[in-house]
Amino acid sequence: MSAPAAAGAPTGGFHGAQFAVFAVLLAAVAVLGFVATRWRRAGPGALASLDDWGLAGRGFGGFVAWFLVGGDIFTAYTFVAVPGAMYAAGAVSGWYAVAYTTLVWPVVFVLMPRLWTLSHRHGYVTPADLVRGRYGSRSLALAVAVTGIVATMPYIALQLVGMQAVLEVMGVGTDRGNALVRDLPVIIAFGVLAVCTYTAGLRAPALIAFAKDLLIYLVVAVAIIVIPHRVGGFGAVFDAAEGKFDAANTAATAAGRHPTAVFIPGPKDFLAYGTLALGSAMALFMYPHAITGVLATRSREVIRRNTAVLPLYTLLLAFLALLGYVAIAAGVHTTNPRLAIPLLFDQEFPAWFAGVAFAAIAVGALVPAAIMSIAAANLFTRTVYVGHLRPAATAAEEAKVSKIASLLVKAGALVFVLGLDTQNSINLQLLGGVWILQTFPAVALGLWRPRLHRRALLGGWLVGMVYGTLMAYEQHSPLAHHFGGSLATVPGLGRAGYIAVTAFALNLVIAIVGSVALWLAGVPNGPDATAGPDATAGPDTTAGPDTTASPDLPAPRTGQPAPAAGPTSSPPTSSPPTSSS
Amino acid sequence: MTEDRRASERGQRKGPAHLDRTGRGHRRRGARRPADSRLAIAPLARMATAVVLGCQIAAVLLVGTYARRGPRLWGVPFFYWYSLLWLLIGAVGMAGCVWLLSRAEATRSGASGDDGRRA
Repeated sequence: MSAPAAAGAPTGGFHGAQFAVFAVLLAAVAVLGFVATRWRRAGPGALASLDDWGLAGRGFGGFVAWFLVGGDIFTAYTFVAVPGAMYAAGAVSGWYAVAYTTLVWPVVFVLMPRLWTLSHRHGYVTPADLVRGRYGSRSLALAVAVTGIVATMPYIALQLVGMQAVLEVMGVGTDRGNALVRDLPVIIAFGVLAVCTYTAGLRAPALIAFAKDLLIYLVVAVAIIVIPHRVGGFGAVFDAAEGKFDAANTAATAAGRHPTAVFIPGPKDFLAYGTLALGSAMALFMYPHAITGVLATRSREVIRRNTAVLPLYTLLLAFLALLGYVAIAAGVHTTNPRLAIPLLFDQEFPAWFAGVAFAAIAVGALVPAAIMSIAAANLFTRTVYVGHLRPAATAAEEAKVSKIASLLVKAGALVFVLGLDTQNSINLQLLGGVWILQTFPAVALGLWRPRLHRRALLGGWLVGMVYGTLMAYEQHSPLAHHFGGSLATVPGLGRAGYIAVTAFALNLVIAIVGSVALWLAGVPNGPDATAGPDATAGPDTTAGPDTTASPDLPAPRTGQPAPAAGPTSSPPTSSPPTSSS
Repeated sequence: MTEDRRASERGQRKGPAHLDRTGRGHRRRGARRPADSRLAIAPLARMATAVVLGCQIAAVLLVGTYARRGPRLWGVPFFYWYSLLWLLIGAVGMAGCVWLLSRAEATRSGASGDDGRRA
């Protein structure tokens, strides 16, 4: 299976057979990415608008959407960072990801059908579009857009880190002396990805997502069945993990350091575990790329039905997380947690299958990175470019700007990789979470009435961003002086909690109190472009003769007489008050 | 804004749905009933949904209720398998909610609106 060219490479630790399989699979995926240009395409005029390039024509059904939305979540991050955190520190750092991806589905169930309805009706492409329309505030939309872009970059960077990890284990680019040589494979892969995305838009990652998930399911199934069995079953795996953490904590305490490993959370960890889970769950679908996946679906029902099936991804994430413990039991030794899983695969699998596994991780990095860069580019185009620079831009111009912006976003992600502590790579995602969660009041609460006041929302956002960033900046770890962790003592509670949630609480209080104050003071709120008889409860499945089957109906105009004005079609848990502020 | 343009572009496109299994093109005719006939079922379905989703969220967030080692299941400590149990309960619960809500909406949109859900 090994190509002679690869096998004959010079580096000492280079794994030729692995790399050959890896390279072949990645090349195949690249071809798929270019084929995507023609996939589900409308005609020669397609790809010339943002709806088509950035949302693939808003026509994905349940099957494609399942892969696409799953592809957002099941990233190289889950493959590398979560098991790495399990390997290094156990439950609070690692297993919380399972709790958070459990909680995310109810959140999606409630928020996303409503978001889809509003966006579909008014042609919104990004969350910032929604905020702009809902509050009539360009500055609030800009805040949401900038937050989205900035928060997405560390997430893309995390994908790069995941790729670096597998390359490092394969012995590619271990030449520490030359930064260019070291990072060349990643740069090449991202270059190819950039070109695919540029030409095919969202269709590229959507099509590649099939290949990616096939590979990942295969690898996870084999890994979770074969490896634990070899090391003596799950009982032995957990015993080994507990033994390692006990030893590590004893050693840390003896050395005068704070013990960090947690096998089962103790009472002082409950708040940290709970806030990490809740904050991440609320944050995940505020990310522009997650919303992009949702908006590319063809109907509200597709989203809802999918929430019942998407937990399968969480189950796989749980298996992957457990592989972190399996690595402990299998005797993998590394001081760099993100290498734990690649090293486990390298140690336990035959070379060719390790190559498949590494390709799965790398493709798992490329798909989300593509979706993320598209989403961030759409944010830039719609809010910054059209919203502030060139309001008269044509659809073709929008698509073109977005394509270029998608390239720039990928470059921006590199800055995070070079500038931050990638050893503790899970923090990259948590830092993005701190920022993106601050858009929750404007975006998620903006889906229903009564509306909060736009100025109060902006104030809350500002305070949340500043507080969250400062707190994150102050956290230091043995490896990093700043941005070394995502937990900080919650004022008033005396226990550590996720910074994002503390900042969000501040944000929310300011938004609500400020809204009441501004309302009492008689300061007018912005115009609501979505207002109209159908604004609170658009029964979209009954709005047209055929909305579910045909997503291509022109969006009904604002102010069109509502066909039916019941509260029934807005998502379940919040019955919207009929009054508007 | 540019909505007219966008809308007309969307209107031109008729996507082939050959790769979609779940979102089959069942037509739902919008035979709508007057408002009163649908208000009875929907709030119940939505309340049930709120309870189901709320339970799942509360169960996961009450970390103290399950941060224990035993009893083990196939060697997996309680804390770990209990988390996964709630994932399963949540998925089944949400499937139930989808069914309830779509039934409520089908009822409200008239008899002919039901065919797309059952097939």
